[in-house]
Amino acid sequence: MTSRSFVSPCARKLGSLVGGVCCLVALAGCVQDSYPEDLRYPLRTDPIVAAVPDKMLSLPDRPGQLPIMSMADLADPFNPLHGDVKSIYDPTRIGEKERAKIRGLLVRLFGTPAHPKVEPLEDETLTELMDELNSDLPVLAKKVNDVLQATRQGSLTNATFSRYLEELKLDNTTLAEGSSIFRAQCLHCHGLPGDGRGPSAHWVNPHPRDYRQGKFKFTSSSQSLGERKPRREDLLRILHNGIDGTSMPAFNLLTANQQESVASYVIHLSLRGQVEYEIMKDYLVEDPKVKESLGPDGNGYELKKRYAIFLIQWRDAQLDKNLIQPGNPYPYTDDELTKSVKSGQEFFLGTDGGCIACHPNYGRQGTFSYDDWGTLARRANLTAGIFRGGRRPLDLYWRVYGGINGAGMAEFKKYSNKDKPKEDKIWDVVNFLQVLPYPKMREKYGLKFD
Amino acid sequence: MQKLWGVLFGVMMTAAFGLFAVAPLIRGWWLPKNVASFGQGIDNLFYLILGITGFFFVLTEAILVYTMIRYGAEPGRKSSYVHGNHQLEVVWTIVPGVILFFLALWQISVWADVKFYTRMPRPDENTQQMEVTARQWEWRVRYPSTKRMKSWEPASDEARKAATENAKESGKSLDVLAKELSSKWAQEFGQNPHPDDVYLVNDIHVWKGNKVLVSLKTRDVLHSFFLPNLRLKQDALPGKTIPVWFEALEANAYFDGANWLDGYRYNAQGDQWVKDRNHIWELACAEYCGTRHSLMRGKLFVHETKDDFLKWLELAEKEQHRSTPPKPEAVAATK
Repeated sequence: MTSRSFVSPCARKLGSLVGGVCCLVALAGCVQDSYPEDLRYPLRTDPIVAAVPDKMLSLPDRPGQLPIMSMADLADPFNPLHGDVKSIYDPTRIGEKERAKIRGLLVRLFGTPAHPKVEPLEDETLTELMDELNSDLPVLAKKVNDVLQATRQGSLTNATFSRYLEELKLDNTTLAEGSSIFRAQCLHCHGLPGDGRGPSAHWVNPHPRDYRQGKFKFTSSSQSLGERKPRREDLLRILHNGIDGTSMPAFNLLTANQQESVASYVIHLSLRGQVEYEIMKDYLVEDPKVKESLGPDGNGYELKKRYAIFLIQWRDAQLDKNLIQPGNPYPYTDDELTKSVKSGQEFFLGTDGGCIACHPNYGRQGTFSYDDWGTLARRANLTAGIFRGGRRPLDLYWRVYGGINGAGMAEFKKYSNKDKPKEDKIWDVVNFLQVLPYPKMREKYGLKFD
Repeated sequence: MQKLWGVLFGVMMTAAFGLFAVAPLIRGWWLPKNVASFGQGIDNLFYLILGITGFFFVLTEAILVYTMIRYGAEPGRKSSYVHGNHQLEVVWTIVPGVILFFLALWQISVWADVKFYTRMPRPDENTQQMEVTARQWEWRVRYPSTKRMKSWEPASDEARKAATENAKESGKSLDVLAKELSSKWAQEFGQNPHPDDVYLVNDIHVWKGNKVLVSLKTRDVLHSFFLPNLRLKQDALPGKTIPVWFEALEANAYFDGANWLDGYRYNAQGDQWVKDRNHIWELACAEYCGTRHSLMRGKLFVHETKDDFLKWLELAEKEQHRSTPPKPEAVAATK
């Protein structure tokens, strides 16, 4: 009888097989909703686009490409932006100490991906800000026009600041829920800090929105271009309906509360991103106050000031008085409608509107140009019947009235006439735009069209 | 020791069979609820094939496990060299071949009912039509307006008005002309968009007991229009418009005064709607189409009556033609 070890070779093989299978099961892991605890928002390293060159191109970027990922892209002689570095800045030129200071301030104000927050500022900072605004320094005057309006209602204190945050639903619980939904649904396109540079972003054209300039295209707020922030309903509408003609899908299958949380989180990312963008840009253009504030003895006041201004702009956009409220011209009689459509076409082609200048051949021969985010975009083809911001007459009115932030679509608000809506030129254009994509309708209204 | 492998196989196969046997009793493990008119035929095919393959599964596994245990290697026993059994091999090739051939013929009528164009409902006044465009990563649906749906009936005002205008020219009678025109309008809905069409996303609305014709398109890559509760799956091919039809036999859309909710069953005796988890009917994408393929979902709402459906469609139309911003309370009510 040969002696055998306690566990025979066969049983050992069997055991390791079973063990291996069990390990595979364990590797599947648990479902994890929120970001890892130790993850931080990275400080931006991609180029800061302050102004875009006025270039027209016939082709978009190739699949798998974003126009400006790093300064190295600009060094490439084949990049259309090569040589146009005047208003494109390199954030990696900021010294390590200053970057650390910015990072620290941003974490203190905006938290981490797993625990996002929007901290109200202390009274001390706000008093200093109020003093500065009230002294009407020329360099601030243009930028903070609306802010002055808001703060003259009373003084800006920690309590009012917190109230603004509540109005914008930027409390920690909502943001935490928004952050985990964002991670599951939005991160792959819009990126971790909302930079529109997630892994899918390179392959999707038009590229996903970069929230970090605080600019959103499809807004219904009537603040002037430059300070305009979207209203909450605009963000929710885009979430709910998606954007037809782009890769932004509709999220109407999320519950209403989930959509609200995501909207809050987007506002949070936009605030954080815009503060980071502005402070880095102003540092790189050698603004002395910013350099001092971020220096070894500085207290970061300049960063906090910008944060306060942007928050007030966001809050302002939500006020009822800042919603674009057109007069309602509908219903039209048949004659009125024919007249309206025809005069809409005249406006489009003529010197008043001159829309044909930017939408050549009604948009069918549009060229690509750089938008404020440094990505290539083409003016809309208005004969396609696809309207990105929404196809309701109201949405078209909002686009023409207020223009489109960041994309270069001008605002035509001076042609509106709220008191006599049937004479409102913008409604004429809207009616024309609704007829334009349909050949039989164009015939019916007797429009000249090649 | 080798026999232990045989025992392991036996245990695994028994477990697999056991899981299958208990599956119908466990929520979510068996076929989803079928509400399609042609669904029963498909399910019957499934059960038939399951029965046949199940029988052969048990047979072959039993033989395998038996021979592994009985004839597993043992020290001191010599293996015998078996040349093969020609007759056995012929039998176990021909029998499955015949079974498969039988299945191939048996399933033709089920396939034809669902997929053959000649068996699909014609686009006319009795068929509900919609155009579904798949795109990364959602389902864009185009419905006709209520007015346009009405114009597909020969007796409608639109048809009769157009017939009266053209009667002299064409020389045909009013009735004939009205029928021709209304039928022409119905047929061209799927081909072209119209200015008053209602555009929605990820929501398929139909009403009970009515044939629906879907024109399926895709804007970018391959997708697949999959409604599990209707046993319906059709790949969407770029460049093609593919007709798809179905008829839902049960309703699941309950109107609570503000919104239509799915996941409800209508109890005719009590005349009330009862919450039922089996009445949440989904639309999913069944052809990998990119990062968000698994998140490309939609919902199927089957209204109890055509009037209920038209009521929903009218509200959707009104929203589409909105020219003034909604009041804040109105916005809150729709959430």
